[in-house]
Amino acid sequence: MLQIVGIAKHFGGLQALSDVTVSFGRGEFVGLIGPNGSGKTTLLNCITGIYRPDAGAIRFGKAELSGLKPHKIFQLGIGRTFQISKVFNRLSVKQNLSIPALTEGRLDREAIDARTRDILVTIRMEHLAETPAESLSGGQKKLLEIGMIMMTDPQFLLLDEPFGGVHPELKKQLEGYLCELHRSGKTIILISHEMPSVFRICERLVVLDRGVLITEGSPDEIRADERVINAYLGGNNEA
Amino acid sequence: MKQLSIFVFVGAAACYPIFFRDYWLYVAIIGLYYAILSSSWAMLAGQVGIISFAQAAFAAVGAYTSAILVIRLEVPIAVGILAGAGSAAIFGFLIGALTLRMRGPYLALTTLGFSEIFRIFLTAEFELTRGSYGLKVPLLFDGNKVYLYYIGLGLLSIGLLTLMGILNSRVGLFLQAMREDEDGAATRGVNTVYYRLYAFVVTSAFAGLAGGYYAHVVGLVSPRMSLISEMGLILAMGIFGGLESLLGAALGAIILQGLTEYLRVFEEWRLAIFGALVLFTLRYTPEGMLPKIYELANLLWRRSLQMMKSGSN
Repeated sequence: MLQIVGIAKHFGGLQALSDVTVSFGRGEFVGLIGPNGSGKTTLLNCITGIYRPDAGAIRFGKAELSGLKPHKIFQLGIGRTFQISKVFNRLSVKQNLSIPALTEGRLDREAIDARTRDILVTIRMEHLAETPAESLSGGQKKLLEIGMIMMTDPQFLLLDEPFGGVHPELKKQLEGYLCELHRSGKTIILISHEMPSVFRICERLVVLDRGVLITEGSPDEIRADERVINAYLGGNNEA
Repeated sequence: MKQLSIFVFVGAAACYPIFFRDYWLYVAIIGLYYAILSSSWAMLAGQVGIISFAQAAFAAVGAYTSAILVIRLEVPIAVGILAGAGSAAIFGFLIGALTLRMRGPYLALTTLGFSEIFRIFLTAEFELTRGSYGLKVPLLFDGNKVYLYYIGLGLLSIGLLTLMGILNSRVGLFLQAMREDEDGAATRGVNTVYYRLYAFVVTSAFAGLAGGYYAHVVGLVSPRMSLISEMGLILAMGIFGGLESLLGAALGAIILQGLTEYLRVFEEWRLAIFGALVLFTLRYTPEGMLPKIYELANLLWRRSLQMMKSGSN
């Protein structure tokens, strides 16, 4: 269970997150939505140790995450992808995949090679194994990022705009893969502006606006929530 | 393949003293000193993505450590040189720790600041360092140039093989991942703090080793070793040879050191010529000269094969 209690984060005069409290249970598929600048990516950055929150606590099981370094958080079983893919461009697809597994030191070379082959098949990139990641399309880079975190089989997956700039055919493939991961017991927290996809595949939605959690609930509840409609249409939340 | 190129280079370089003696042998010895500095700097800048201006200062740390230990405590020269590498590694660790959260220009400027502070310290602490007069240091093997040359070549080979071994290991993969994207590497489990320090310590140790060697080759250490222009020279050598190839950077150092002698008539203008050379390299062959040398060698090899074939027909 990932519990976020009253976290806040500001950058200069901008309050990016204010007193956000939310929990994510094991095996959930949660959509984290909100207009641009609502604090979704900042929240992910706080969970994964890139930012240290100004206030509040982030608990993962018994561990307190705020203050931990990103690599420690990854080792606890929280993997993430980025809005703008952070693959290692000049390394091959295979090398990109091997890095997370090598950091763990749990698997030997042979086991890592076998795992790499499996992931390459799953993300349908067997033929690109030796290709430098910089040659991949935007969509393929998104897939590669998910493949990279799957190398260590983490329990929690935090995915930041995995459908952004992805070809419709590849998007379908990606959606299918995420549902498959969810069925296998993974917890997925998905940030996306692709509303049809989010409403189709997520079980629960959490909505942020201007750094504040405005509501959460099932896709049907969120669809009918006036605060969400206002936030997306630029209306006044207090109105 | 890369290791093989090193063996070919060392094999060819081992024959140099057969053909060149005295002056040109001495030029090559100084070239070997710069080659260790340039290749270790290329490891940091080209492979890890850390632009540091402290490599010349780390060499000075190594040189002064060895000089002071040998003169004051009368330790054997070899021990002094190794201690120089050790003290440069400690300084590398401290600078690495100080700049952990810094990136790009902030980090580069901090290392530049360290170099200047260290140079001023060497100049000001007359009791210990004899200021800008420098310290007279005993020579290795009484200055026998052939021995000095082979020791320099040995140190360069050890440096290149060690750094290349690191690059070919999982640590090398982590370092390259950090160069591409530090946050990306950290969120995939790479302990970026540890490996950044690791890179600083290893490359500083080799700079210190080179500095210690240089001290006992030249017989004099002075604060000039830590001058910004010295760092500029190392930078020019690395870029000219190729930042992404350790051997390229080493060759760049040896070629430019040779060129320095040819350009001696231009005095201080030599540096301006090197600057122009760096600009030219960055503009037309940003990967450095080594790939061009490979291409040229390949072309010549194929031409000579063709000529041999047509000759036999």
